[in-house]
Amino acid sequence: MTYFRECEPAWCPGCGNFPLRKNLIETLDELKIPKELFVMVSGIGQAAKMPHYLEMNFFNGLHGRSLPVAFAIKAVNPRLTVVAESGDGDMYGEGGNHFIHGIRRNIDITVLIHDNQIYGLTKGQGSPTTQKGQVTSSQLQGVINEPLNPLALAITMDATFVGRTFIGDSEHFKRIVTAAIKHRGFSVVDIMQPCVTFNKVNTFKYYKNRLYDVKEENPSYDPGNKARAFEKSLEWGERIPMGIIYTRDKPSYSELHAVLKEGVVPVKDSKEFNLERELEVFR
Amino acid sequence: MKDYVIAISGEAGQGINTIGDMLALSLFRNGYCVFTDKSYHSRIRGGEYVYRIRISGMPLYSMRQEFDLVVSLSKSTTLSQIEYFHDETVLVFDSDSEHVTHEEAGIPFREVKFPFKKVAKEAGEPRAQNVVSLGALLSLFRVRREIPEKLVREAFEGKEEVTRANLLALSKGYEIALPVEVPAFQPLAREYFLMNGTEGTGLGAIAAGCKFLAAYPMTPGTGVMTFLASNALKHSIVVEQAEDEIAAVNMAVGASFAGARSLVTTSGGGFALMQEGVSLAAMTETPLVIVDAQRPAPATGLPTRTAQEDLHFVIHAGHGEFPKYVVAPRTARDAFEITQKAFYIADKYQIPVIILLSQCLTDSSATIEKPTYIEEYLERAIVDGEENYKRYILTSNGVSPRAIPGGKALVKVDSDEHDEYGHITEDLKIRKEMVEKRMKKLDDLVRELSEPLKFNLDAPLVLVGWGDSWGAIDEFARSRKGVGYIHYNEVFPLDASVANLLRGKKVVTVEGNFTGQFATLLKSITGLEVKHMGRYDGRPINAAWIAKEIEREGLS
Repeated sequence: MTYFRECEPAWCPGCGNFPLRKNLIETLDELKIPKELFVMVSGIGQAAKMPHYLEMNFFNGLHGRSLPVAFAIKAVNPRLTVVAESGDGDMYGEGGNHFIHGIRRNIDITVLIHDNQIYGLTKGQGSPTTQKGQVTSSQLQGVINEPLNPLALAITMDATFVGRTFIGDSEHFKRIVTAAIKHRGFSVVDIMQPCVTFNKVNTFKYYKNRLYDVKEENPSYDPGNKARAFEKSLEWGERIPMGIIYTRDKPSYSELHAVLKEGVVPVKDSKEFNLERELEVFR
Repeated sequence: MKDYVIAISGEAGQGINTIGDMLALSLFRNGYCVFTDKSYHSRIRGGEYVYRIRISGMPLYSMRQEFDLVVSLSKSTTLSQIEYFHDETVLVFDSDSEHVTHEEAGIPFREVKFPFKKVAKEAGEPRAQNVVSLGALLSLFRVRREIPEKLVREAFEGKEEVTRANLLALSKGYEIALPVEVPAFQPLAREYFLMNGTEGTGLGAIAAGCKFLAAYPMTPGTGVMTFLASNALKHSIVVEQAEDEIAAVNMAVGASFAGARSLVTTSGGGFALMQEGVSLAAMTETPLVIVDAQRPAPATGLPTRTAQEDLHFVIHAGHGEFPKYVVAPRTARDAFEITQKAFYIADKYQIPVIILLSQCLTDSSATIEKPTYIEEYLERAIVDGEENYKRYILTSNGVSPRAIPGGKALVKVDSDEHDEYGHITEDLKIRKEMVEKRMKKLDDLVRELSEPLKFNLDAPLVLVGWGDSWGAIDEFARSRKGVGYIHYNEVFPLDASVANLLRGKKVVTVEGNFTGQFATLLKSITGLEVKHMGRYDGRPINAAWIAKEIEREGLS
């Protein structure tokens, strides 16, 4: 069994999505989740094309709206492993509100964000994570807005799994994404990757030289320490932390939900309706 | 037809809704027919609040404008209602409170003062003033005393002292013989139910097996959401309050993709935010049902008033071209039945379906006959699928058998234009085939439509209406010679053959909007000349208003 699909992805040569795809296929193959019980939900953008280049169930929805769709799929059928995947513009810009409230719900899904700090599909405009001062096709005098810090935001909202990884380190990628998928609750993984066509600042080398794993640097790093994790999430510059930055154990949406904790919603069969009984209160 | 209209007039926060509900329910349980409506400001405390109850011997589905009896708890509210008084209107108020004078009103009316407050105090519960007046009114209509007693016991369950005081207050109210003459109504022996449009729609959704609802609260659509929420445990429904309407509609599409019959509830402004989601449901061919409970708009408009302004908006909702089905129930009973059909059509044709309600329908309780539960509407049209499954396989009727994830087939769904498998494509030949496939569904969909209601089509003047205006139009047409009507509860698509019935007649639509939206629609499919009369002041259409407009337009 493999999630590999024979096809020609429509990405630029050298795009960070190629190694990401390879890493993801290996991760999913090793996880051995039966394909029919796996669903990927994506939005719009170069990253969001991913499910088309894999062999799986998928819902490729609207720009910014993968999280509400992913939430509902998991709520209706908890047997499914649900992964929402999209880019930084999709998840942190257009879908920012859903990101915040998705964390609040803590439904058991995994969110993979291809964070190349630029808009690719629309040709090089600044994204929510583009660095201050960077000149883009729509910010010609340089970006003046502060970049969004996805890890700090997720930790503040108490997302139950907050990680970062890099497409250039496939072992690290597999380890973090595997942990995220296995985690029970809302898992966020910010994936650093270059956009070779439109982002000349955050290149492969840029990430390679700066990224380090928090646990490798300090084996006693405790991702359960929220204050420390928050502090770590603020680090961005000569050195950029990756790995499992923050995680905690908390009941998921379906475990707390009065209907869902009783079992799966009988979506296909609902012949229990008794009109006479229901009409009693209207007499 | 013999009828009687009671208005309870006061301010929000005075318990008017509670007492109005108790009064209506007691009259109903005694075998009388009631129709209620509420006119209120968008606030929780203060502001006008008028609860009207129309009592009749046979079921009626619209309000009569003039009040026969007004229980006034607020001078200022009552003054604002003077236009609905007639010469014989009885104004009942507490003798200890300062009240509307004939000079202030500028018209004659009969006043009946009674010390409701004092009597309540004597009963040991000064707040039971409303219960005293409830007793007095019910006694007037010879309603069996055990009916309101049961309601009072339920209302104050667990509070023994308060219950006792309120029962005493009720009993003292019953002893009051208000010097008012009311018609004697014969209690009905048939089986009737008291239901409002919110409940009809909500119960219809439950009957149809709706298992997922996502919504952002917005008056007057919120009631359907809270109705399903209060039934969620009993019927295993996931009800999620979304962060916004965009999330709500996308959630419902996701739940539907996963196999659940899904519902979204909102009002016009919220529906405006959902447009892209409507398109998404259409493009991915995912069944979706949306309730738009209309309010007068644009923008925030009048949240607590009624209108039929969203017809064109919803039939054109979403960018791009795709088929959809739009219904607008006439009554609570109709809402129960058509909502089941809405889910069935959404599933069968894999299209977005919109249910147009209005504040008047959602808030009005009416005496209805037993609604019909239609089991065949539970048909899900979901297949197992197989290896190499094509979600969008081209078929002769445009409908591709739908599988859901978790079964044998891998289900691939895309908002981009896609090939038969569901993969993104820019092949323009496939694009053309996919457009034709989606639009093809309309051919069969039109054949699913039921006939509109027709009355006296030999008449030279034919009124045409849709949605909750039916009660008013029916009442008006039956009161006149030479007036017929056609009334729709399925408003899109329309069957063009209606032209055969209308040719050579004077055709006038009666609608809750300024521009005559249904008239435009009717003109475009029949090619006939169609005039319209529109009510757009936020109030419900009623027979008296139609009569006045007909006269004004010189149509009688």
